[in-house]
Amino acid sequence: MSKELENRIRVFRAEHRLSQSELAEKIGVTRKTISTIEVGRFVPSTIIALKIARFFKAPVEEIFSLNDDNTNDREDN
Amino acid sequence: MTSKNTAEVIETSLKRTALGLSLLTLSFGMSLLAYFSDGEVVDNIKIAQKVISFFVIVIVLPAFYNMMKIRMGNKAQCNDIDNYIAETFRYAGVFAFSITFVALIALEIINRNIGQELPTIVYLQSAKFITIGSFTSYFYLKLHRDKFDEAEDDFSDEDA
Repeated sequence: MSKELENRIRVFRAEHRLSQSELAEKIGVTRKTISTIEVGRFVPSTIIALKIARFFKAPVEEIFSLNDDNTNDREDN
Repeated sequence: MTSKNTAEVIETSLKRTALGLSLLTLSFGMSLLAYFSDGEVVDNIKIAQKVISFFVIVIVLPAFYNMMKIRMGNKAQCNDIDNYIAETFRYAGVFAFSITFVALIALEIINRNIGQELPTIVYLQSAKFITIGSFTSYFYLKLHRDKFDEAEDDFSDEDA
């Protein structure tokens, strides 16, 4: 399941010069939650995804996306 | 403690609960062992169980208190258990239920084949041991496995 969801949290963190702990603190989750989302181990809830997007002032789709294979499947249907 | 956010307090509480449950597994396993033992061994098991019970209370009570404090004082965030540890906890529960169900069926078959009726207490102790044991095993194995995926990237310390 988590392999279908890609994210660019690490890139956004790098741009904002934030550690996982700092981002976790800002959006009210734990560092473990951020780190497992980043590596694709944990699929975040809509609420967490929206909180992350709001914090980075970016659309959710810019941070989270479905991988290409699945996108193609959906477009074919 | 004061610097921890709600999610961190919940995560710590869940970890303490899991630790308490793993001690309970040990205690339930001893109860099962006590049934097949006698004399001094049983007495020693009872003493060990009392010590374990004390530690379970010491470990779990602060976790319970913290969870209640969050629930009572921060009602708007009652559903703020949306984190990785909480999800692992839920999966562990599902896993424990499945394992217990299969194990009880296996016990029933074994009991039928050996032709000797095991007392109800053995079933109950086995069920408790298997449920809590499989729960904590899943929880700790998953956390241990996922620990290798982690990498703290502290970009804030780097120069621009």
